[in-house]
Amino acid sequence: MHNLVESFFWASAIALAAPILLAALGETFAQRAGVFTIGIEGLMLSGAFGAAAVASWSGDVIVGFAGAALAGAVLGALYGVAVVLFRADQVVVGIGFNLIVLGATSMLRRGLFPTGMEVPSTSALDRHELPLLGDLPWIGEVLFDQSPIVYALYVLTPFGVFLLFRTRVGLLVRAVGDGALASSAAGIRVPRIRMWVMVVNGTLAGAAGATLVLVNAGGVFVDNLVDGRGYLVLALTMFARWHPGWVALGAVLFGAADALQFIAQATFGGHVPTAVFLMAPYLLALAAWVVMGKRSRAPSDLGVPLLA
Amino acid sequence: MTQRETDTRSGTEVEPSRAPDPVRGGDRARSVERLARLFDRPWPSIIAAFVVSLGIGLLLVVLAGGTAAEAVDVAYRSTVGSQQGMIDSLVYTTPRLLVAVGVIVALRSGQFNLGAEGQLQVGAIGAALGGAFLAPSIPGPLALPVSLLLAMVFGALWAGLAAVLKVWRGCDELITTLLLNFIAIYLVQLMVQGAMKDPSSTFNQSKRVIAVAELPRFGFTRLHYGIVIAVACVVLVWFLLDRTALGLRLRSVGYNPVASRYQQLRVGRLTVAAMLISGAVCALAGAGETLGVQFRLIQGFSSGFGFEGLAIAFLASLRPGRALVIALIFGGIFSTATRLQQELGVTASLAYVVEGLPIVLLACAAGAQALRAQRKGIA
Repeated sequence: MHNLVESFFWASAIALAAPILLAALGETFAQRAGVFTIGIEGLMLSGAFGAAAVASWSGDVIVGFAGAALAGAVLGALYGVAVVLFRADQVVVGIGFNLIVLGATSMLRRGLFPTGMEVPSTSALDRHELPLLGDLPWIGEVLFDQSPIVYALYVLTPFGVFLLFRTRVGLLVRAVGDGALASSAAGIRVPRIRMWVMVVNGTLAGAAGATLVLVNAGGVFVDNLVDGRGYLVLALTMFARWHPGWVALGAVLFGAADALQFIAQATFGGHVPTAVFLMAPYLLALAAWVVMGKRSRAPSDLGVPLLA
Repeated sequence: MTQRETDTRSGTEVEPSRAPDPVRGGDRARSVERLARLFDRPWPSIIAAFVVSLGIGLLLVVLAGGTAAEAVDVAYRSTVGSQQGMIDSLVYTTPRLLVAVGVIVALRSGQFNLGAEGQLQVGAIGAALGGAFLAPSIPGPLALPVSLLLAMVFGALWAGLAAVLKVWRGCDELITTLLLNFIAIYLVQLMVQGAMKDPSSTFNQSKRVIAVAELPRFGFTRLHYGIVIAVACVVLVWFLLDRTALGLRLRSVGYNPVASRYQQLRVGRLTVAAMLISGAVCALAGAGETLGVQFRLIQGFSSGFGFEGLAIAFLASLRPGRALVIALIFGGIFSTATRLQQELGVTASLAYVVEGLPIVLLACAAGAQALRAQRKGIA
């Protein structure tokens, strides 16, 4: 079991946590504002496809990453038009949206890249050891020898906490999610705030998809690449009680469950089938959900369109 | 915060602080009520949504290099235009229809069962367990019923797990069922790689279902009796929901769990009952594929029937009879998309776009209509 404290294991856990955390930060804001985005799965998938497509055209992963974030923002806004402006049912739109994105990305992949995508060098997003901090024993190897995306998250997560709980913007977001009618009556433009939150949610989900394809999958896009991680994000957001800090902690736990497969051979002697490791993050999410379920209090207007 | 409230009709006390958890999901319950009302769409709007989405599908075919005339010709031949087309459409209709009626039971009872995919996966495990492993050692005529029953029990328990977690721990079934989908998919992988793997095959698949446990087929076609089971389920679910006391109670919980509790309905038990029935019907979709199409447990036998079935249920305004019609259309769409891929090289995933669009369009129309009505009411 000594493998479980090895720096390699935890470094992998953090690397695998990055896409989950990126998307979950956006989803936390969306749910705080009352929008339950089942379509996060589709938003991430469109980001993954956008990243692979743009990277393969431009030959530059950074451009691909930006393209994915932009694609996510546009689709997030479109999603917002349906659930925020048209007041459509959020669950129904989410199911439909995920179906559409799954079909569209698979079609586009075959239509635009019949001979496969050209994977550019992903070295810009590979691990870069930070000076000084990276030399620390264990901690340096785990925390400071990571992809730049992970470093961005070290900043983004505390900023999310600050934004949500210490600023006027955060107060507006929470007000809109906890009492949409009252907020509306108090003169807050609920739809406008929810639309902006959906754009942010889409951007971060797109970036999460880009991370999945460019960092975790080495630049290779396959149909349905996201494969349920969007639903993990939903579960994480909710059992982490809509707090970015807890979300980050939960994401690392998922990363650890995901990383188990890397040390499986050494730790369990190869007797455990791969399916068990693939199942692990979902089992963990279910267990966490069972433990936390009763104690969490959702934003009151989560999932309810504003009829005013 | 308030004192004990007393149900005036029966005089029993209801303690607000010990409200059972299904009631806690009042927000979700509100959305079920909205769903039922908003999706009570007249046929013309459903047809309009389909026309728009089929138009976009046609546009996509043209963009992918086909011509509209070819596409229409393929669509005709793969649905009503040829015997093979009709048979294919019905084969594709079967699992989707079973899932749709299965989730209708849950949704009408206020349970957001998004776990049909998982329930049909464990249903397939149950069917294979019956058809390939138990069947050789039990009397022939029992093989098929036992396999189907096992599938239903597995599916019911899988869905029941989510219901029990909801009642016991207050876990939102929407998330639980989504997570259980993926656990079930990997459970199938685990089975075909390990415990149920056919040792004589290099592929990851179970032993073949023995002949007596197969679903019988119509003549020499590939159409199996799953479609008969599916249509029977449509009738049974309609009868259950609209013509029985249990159905009335279930729908009552779906509309308003709080009021139902004041009516002394056992909301927790009804929650579990709704999910058990829903899971059992959804599991039949997996059993049909295993005993009627694949004849083995394999990975990836379902191309996302679970979510397509949900789309059908929404489009059908949660009515079993309408679900039959919509499922036939979906079967036709899938049959067309498959043949488009063979003949014109257009990816079959086109089907998902054409199936997903109408529910988004209708949901937008319904939401906008509710908003207008609300504003008119206030003004």
